[in-house]
Amino acid sequence: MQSKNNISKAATLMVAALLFYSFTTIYVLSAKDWKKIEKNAKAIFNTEVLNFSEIENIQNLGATRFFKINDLGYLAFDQAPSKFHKFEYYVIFSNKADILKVEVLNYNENYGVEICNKRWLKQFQYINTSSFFSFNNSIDGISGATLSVQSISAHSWKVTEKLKTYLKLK
Amino acid sequence: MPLLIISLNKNKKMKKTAVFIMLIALFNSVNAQNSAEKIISGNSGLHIGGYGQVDFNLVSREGTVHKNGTLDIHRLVTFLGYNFNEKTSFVSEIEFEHVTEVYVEQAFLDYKIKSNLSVSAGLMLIPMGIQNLYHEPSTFNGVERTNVDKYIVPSTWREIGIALNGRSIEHSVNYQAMLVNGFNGFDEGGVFSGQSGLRRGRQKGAKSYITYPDFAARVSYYGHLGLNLGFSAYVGDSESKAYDGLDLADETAVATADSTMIGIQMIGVDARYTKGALQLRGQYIVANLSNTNQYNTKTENDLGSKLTGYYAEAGYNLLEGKNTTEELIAFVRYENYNTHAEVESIAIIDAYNRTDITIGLGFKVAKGAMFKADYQIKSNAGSDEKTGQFNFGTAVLF
Repeated sequence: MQSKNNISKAATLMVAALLFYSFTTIYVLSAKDWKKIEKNAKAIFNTEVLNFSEIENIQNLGATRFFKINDLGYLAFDQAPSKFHKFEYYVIFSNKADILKVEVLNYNENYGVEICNKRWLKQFQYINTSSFFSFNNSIDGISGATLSVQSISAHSWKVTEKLKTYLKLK
Repeated sequence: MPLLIISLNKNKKMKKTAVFIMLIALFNSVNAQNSAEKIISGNSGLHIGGYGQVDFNLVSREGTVHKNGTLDIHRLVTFLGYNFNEKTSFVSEIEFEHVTEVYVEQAFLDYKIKSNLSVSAGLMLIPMGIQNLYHEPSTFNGVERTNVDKYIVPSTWREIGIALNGRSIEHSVNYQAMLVNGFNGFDEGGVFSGQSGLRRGRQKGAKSYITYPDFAARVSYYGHLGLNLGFSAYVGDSESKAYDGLDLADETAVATADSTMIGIQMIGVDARYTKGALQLRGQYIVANLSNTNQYNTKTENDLGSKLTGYYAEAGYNLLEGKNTTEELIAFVRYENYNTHAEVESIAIIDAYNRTDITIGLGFKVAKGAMFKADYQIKSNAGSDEKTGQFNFGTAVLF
């Protein structure tokens, strides 16, 4: 009987998990995505050995995924809307939640694709994250990519806020 | 799930389990709503947006002759998009022009073949120049769209067809290639004219007809920071109702039908550049039309054989560096559009060689919301007279 109960419990949990999963769309990082992230993280932290450990006890995690990178910094992986679709991007942070890098991994339409420009994304490096006003104000607009610029700005700021709360930096 | 519910009533604990599962199932079935309910409850697959402009135009007096001003909801467009899954999405834009006219501006299904390549089919924008693709009023300076993008590129130019949309993030390039139906050049009579060029021939997806498909493509490069370069091309023949029901064995009838269509080759280059407070943009479009001699003879119209248009614009954000997210953009634009750049066997009408100089201000109170004011000096090569026009408008995009 006990084993039967365990089976039913397990089944309940599995069904609940499946149902929960059907509500949240969690993007699965591909091997290609990881390769890009690792390459950049190695260059940023000047190390060959990287260990990513996922952090799950962050408040209001939503669809964002956080990883601790050795004892050197953090990685956040997130999705944000462009004009018609969603794009995937990641942020590498220092231990103090300074933004060291933002890169777009996949962009699914032509509208607003200009935000993938690496030189444009460089302006996020060590950007002032004390308030959304100053953060948003220091990001240059791109003609024809208004919605995607707004989107990556707002989302990367939110991600930074989540990490800061977790690190008790605010 | 039914398999699990069969075990109901075996014991109390299992009963609890079953009830729990049923509750979840009920919760999940709430998720299987119709589309109206989805909109109400909020659905991650659904995108709602829009853009619009409300204009006040005031033409200067000509000597002692008074001209009334006009106030108009020039356009109000609702955007509805739906992502069926990671690969499939539908995009639509429904437009109200001058309150009473209703159009569909875009309506296509897009299917992602790879992460950087998709195919779409339906009513789509022809990728020519800047404003036909980026026509939301908060994305350009000035109350009205540029006239190059009205008389040379007949914005909003959209037709039904099939397209490939691709991009390479590595190389900072994106491209679009499209097979679409062409302009209606002849129905009861000739549709193209010397004054408005190809504009009146747009079929806009409203019971459009086709003889042969046309080809359009655009490549843009954004690898240099702040710069966006575009190259567009369109080739094909106009459509003609004279071909419908035509007996191809009847040579005289075929020759007559042939004189009701024209060949179109349109090429455009454009550039946009932003650095700090400075914004520059420019565009050059040329359309070479063939068979216009026969077309004009048949239809008694005065269509030119070459249409050209260009503009150069400089803008400066006067609030750059100030502690605000608002922008106050002062700009000046020089624009020339000539629907009679060249003609075949008819006289050139100089009045079709038109020049607009626009100076104005745009107060961007939020990203996507603007108040605009400008003054335009319009002239043409056929007259020494210049006319002035004040324009004021509100522009939104969300």
